[in-house]
Amino acid sequence: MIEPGTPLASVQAALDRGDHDEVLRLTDALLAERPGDDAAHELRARALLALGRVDEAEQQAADAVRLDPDEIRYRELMAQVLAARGAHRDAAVEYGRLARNDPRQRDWLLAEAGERLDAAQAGQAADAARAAVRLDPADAEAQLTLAVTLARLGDGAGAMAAAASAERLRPGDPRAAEAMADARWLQGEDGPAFTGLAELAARLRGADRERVTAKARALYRQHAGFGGRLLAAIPPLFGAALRRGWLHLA
Amino acid sequence: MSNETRNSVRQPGVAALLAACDAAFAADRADAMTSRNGETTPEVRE
Repeated sequence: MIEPGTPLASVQAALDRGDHDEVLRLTDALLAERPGDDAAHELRARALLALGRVDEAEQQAADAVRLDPDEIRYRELMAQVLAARGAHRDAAVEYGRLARNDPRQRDWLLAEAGERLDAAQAGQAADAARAAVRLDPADAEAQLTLAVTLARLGDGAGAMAAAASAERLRPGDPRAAEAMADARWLQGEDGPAFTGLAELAARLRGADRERVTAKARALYRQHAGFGGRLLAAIPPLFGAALRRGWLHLA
Repeated sequence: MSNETRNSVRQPGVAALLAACDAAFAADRADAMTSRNGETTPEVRE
């Protein structure tokens, strides 16, 4: 912990209140005076990351890691920077390393699974999620992550089992309900899958609603006749009909 | 990839459709990260 009144305390306070320009100004001065200050590099990296200056953030994070390779927080920061610049595979490797070395490995395993999914490495994502579930089968987030990764692999039965666990552990969670709908579709239970997606479309907003509506449209088109395909070709109309519960699979 | 995972691939067509929808309309990334790393508020060491 930092003592009040120290230069780093001022930097941390600026970061906490979102004054990233002030963080850069303060760490400029601090690093000119104490070039090997790993914590200053860390805070500078966090501010740069928040400002979207990802390349510079990566350099600062690398400096912090180089100065103190054993500091887990710097490794996590590096993984976040790598993920921010789209290097999901490298980020996953970093999270994987953290998972092996840190007692909070559940967090790192789930982070690794997310990055593996973004890197189109669904098999390794499922392996990481499965390891998290092994740590604690009653961990809803781990079960949910496992369901998503298995769905990405096309394993409907496995995804359904994990989604059912997530729903049981976290009743009413829309992400668990979506994972269950995905799994049902994969299992060929198209009617219940469509009903689940329609219910979610009525509950959700924004990108989440658009996502479940897109899934429902894709599923609907697989079953629809000419008129149904025409309806599905007009997204606003299809979305409105879906949310009102007017659509059902034959 | 583990043997368990490799043997579980069964519905690649639907899986690809689902992946395309997930990619096109990603869930809120900030929420996901908070959920993954809820204890990562930076602390400064002296």
